[in-house]
Amino acid sequence: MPHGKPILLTLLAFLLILVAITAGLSLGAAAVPLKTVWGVVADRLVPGSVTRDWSAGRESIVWDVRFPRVVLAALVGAGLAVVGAVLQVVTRNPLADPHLLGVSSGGACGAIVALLHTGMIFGLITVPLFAFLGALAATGAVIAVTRFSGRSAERLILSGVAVAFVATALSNLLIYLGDPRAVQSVVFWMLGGLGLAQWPHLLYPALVLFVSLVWLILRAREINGLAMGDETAATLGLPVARLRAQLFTVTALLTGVMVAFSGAIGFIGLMVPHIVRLFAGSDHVRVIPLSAAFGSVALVLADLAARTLMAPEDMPVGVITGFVGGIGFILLISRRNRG
Amino acid sequence: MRRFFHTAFATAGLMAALMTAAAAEPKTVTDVTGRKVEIDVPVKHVILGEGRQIYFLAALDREAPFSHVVGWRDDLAKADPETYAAYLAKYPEIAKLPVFGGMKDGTFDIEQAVALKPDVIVMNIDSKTATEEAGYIEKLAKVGIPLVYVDFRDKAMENTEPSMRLLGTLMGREQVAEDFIRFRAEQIRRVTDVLDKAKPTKPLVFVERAGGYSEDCCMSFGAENFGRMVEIAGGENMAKSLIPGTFGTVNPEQIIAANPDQVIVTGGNWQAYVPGGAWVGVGYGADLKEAQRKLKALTERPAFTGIKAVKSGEVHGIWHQFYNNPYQFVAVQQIAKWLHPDLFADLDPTATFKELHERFLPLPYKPGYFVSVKDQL
Repeated sequence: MPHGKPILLTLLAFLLILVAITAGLSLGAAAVPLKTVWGVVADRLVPGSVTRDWSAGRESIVWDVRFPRVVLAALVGAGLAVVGAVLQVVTRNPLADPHLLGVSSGGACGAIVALLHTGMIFGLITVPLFAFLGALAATGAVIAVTRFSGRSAERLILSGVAVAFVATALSNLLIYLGDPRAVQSVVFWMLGGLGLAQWPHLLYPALVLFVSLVWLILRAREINGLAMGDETAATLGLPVARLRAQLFTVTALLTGVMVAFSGAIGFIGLMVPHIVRLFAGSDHVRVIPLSAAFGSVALVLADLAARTLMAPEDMPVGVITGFVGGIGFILLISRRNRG
Repeated sequence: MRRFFHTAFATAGLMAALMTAAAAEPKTVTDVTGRKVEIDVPVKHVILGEGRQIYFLAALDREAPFSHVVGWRDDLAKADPETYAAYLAKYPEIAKLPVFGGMKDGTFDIEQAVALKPDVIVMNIDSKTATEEAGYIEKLAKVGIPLVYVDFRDKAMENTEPSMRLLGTLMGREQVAEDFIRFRAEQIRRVTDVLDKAKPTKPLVFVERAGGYSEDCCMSFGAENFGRMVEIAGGENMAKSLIPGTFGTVNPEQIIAANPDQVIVTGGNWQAYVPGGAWVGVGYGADLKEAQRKLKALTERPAFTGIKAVKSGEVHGIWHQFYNNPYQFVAVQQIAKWLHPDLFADLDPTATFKELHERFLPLPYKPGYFVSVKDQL
């Protein structure tokens, strides 16, 4: 890859993030002028820096409703894309994404327990907490099954698929036993939605994403080794089984947190890493941070579509990502076949 | 002598036949969907497609509202536990009533229904699609069980009277049904007559359906149900132009942008559905202090940030089940009193509800159906 290309891609990523966030803050069910949007943001970040010539209502729309949602979309998009990029190496499967290994299904199961059966026993954090615990349980189950049946990439995938089936069956049972009137919330959650974003909640995904991202970037060279195959990686002196287990655990925890706050959003983790590799090559020193950046852009824009296409109805963002991602994937496959 | 016995037997037989005919004569009734159904009335055995249908059955037969019920759905105990407990205390036999699952979505165990030998099954109109898709009407018709639809929810203000008349006919309580309809119309006129005369400015009202029931914000009503009640009570329903049907959701941004003058949140004790939820637990004999605390907590959500209604304390909680029973006129009066306190200073919705209980219902009245953020409790 030419020397200037990574810098160009990084600049492009930052520019796109800025554009996506601007669009996310500026557009919505209620019309708010761009000047007001940035006035509110500037005033909140640096109080007194601009003259306040907007209503309290508009300020609330921008700061309390849109901004936390855009930030959550950026965090979740980044998290899912990074997880996808790493899992595609860990499992040596180009179709791997955060939902492949049962973690999302476990998270969904936990969320359903909260939504239909326990209620908000810990307040607004109940659903994310239960979803994370469900994801954690699924992660533990996958690791246990993999240890029991052999630690290869294939075994990891098969274990994940098996755990996903069990978790999905359990979820369906819980839905069947639950109140039909609350099922709407469950469906919305399972299809993915960012409408519940609030400032106090954002600390958890932000912190987990930051720590995971730093750790994964520091391990990027080892991930490159793993991408060459188990034998080559072992020849390079990498502890393949342990590294795979570590990477899976970190990505599973990251997925768990993202799923906990957004529900199950598909295709971001599958599509974005492929697009990034198409332009940035296969060095994970570049792939991981760029996947995070473009994942953010993708989900912020998808969420923007979700809340404006059918306004005032809030469409689940998973519908948008699935639709666009599916078409994009078909184009990607056909392009590769032609190439 | 033989002729005497023949005559006596013939007379007795004729009288028995006439009495049977008087007891149950075939009658063609029209349900709220316009279906013409032939039923032997008055009916002796009824299956209720929803447990909360007891709200209207009780208004027609205050002495023994459950005497004809042979099966029902289990929703009353979950959706309105206080009312269920009160009925259970007065009529302990209801604990043994056969329970159906799934009747809310129009599906139920048809074998169980047939085994109970009902004279009629009463279903809510919102079950119609699922009931028809499952072919229940045809299947039941083959074994001589008619099914009728009533509606106190979808187009409640339009369909309450025909539904009550239909049920009055089925139960052989036509006069009670007419008395109820008259009482209801009188009570609604106490609001509409004043509004027609005064023509006040209509405050903008946002009705949140089952606020706090789930984390989502915000469910509301379109042109019907509570949305229509608000309009009758002299308000402008904020979600009318946003929600095409009876029920739907509104984006938090739109609530803030619309800046409603008043907010009305429907609530109930939904501990069985959402344990420890943020719902506002108003209803039969409810703890209004706790309901008010929860109502205040709901005003702190992003969707209600800085809106007029919150600033002025015009945020109210109302019993959700008014959306699903013939007592909506009480809700109309209470909403009118909230929206136009000066115009309706003399109107007492609590007294109206009390009178409804005294005249038509088997239970004594217990307050707890309404609460406001600014109430001194």
